[in-house]
Amino acid sequence: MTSKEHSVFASYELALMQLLELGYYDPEDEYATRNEDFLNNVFTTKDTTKSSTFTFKSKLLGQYFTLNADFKKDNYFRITAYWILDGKYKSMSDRLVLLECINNLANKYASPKLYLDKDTDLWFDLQVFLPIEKQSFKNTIEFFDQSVASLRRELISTFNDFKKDKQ
Amino acid sequence: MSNALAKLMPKKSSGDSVEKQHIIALRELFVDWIRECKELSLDPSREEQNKEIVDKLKTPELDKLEEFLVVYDSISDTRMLCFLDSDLPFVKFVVNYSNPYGNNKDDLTKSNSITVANKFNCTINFLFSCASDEDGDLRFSYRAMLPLKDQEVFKSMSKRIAMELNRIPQLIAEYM
Repeated sequence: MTSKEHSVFASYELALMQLLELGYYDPEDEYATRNEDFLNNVFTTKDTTKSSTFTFKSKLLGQYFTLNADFKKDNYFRITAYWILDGKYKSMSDRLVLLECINNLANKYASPKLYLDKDTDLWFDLQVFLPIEKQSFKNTIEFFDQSVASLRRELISTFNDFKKDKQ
Repeated sequence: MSNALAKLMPKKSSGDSVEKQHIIALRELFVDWIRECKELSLDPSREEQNKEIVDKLKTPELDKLEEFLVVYDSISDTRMLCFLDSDLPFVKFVVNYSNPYGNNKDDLTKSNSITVANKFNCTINFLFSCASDEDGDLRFSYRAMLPLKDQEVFKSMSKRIAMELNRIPQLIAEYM
C-alpha cells in the first residue's frame, strides 16, 4: 500500500471514530449491521478497488445519513441524506413549485447540494476532500446535520406558503 | 511569561473569539496556498482590490459576505469569487453564468433555468452546488470546510475545481 493510500484509510478511520464519539453512530443499533463490509474494508482489508457506504444517524432528526466512499477515487467522499416526500409532490405543477422553493433555499443559505431526483425525493449531498482533519470533519458533520434539519423545516413552510399564494 | 503576568493579561471574552482567531489564521494560510497553486491564482486584473481583502484577512473585520477575493482558474479561463468570512467555518467559491435561456427574464426562462440547476445538482460527483437567481442566472458554489488538513488537500481540491469549471459550459448546453 502506498503512503497516499495509507493516509486515505487513516482519514476514514478518523471520520468513523469521530462519528462514534460525536454521537452520530451507535454500533448497538440495528442499522449498524449494514456497515460491516465498510468497517472491515477500512480497518482490515483496505481494498482500494471497492466502493461502499456507511450508515449513521442524524442527531437532530434521527434520520439516516450515508457516507459514500469510492476507494478508487482517493481524493474525496460524499455525505448524503434523502427525504422521501411520499409521492405528495409528484404532479408536474407541484414538482415545479417544489423545485422553485428548493432553489430559493439554496440561494438564501449556505447549504449542502440540494436536488430533487426523478422520483421527487429530496437529496442533500456534501463532498469532503481527503485527508480530513478532526476539527474540520466535526464542523462538516454538524453543518450537514443542522442544514438538513433546518432546510427540511423551512421547505415545508415555504412550499405551503407558496401554494397558498397561488390559490 | 510569569504566572502573575499570565493571570493579569486580558482574557479572550468568549470561546467565539478564540474560534475567530483560529479561522483568521486558517484563511491566511488558505490565501498562501492559492498563491502557490498551479491551477488557481489571485486574479491579476483585480490586484488592488484583492490586496485590500488580503490585508483585511489579518483582522477579524472580514465578516460580511459582500467582500471576496477574485480567484482565477487558468485552465478554464474562469474568474471565481472566493468568500473568506471570519464567522464561517468554511470558505466558499462562487462562479456565475448568465441565464442560459437569454436575457428575457420571464417566468418560463427562470423556471427552465431552475430545472437546469437541479440537473447539475443531480449529477453525482459534480463538485459545485448550482442555484438559479432571480434573473435565471446560474450560480455555482462550493464550500470547503476549514481547516483543510494540509496543502495536499487544497491541491486535490483546486485540481478538481479547475476540472469542474471546464465542464460547466458543455453541461449547460446538455441540460437545456
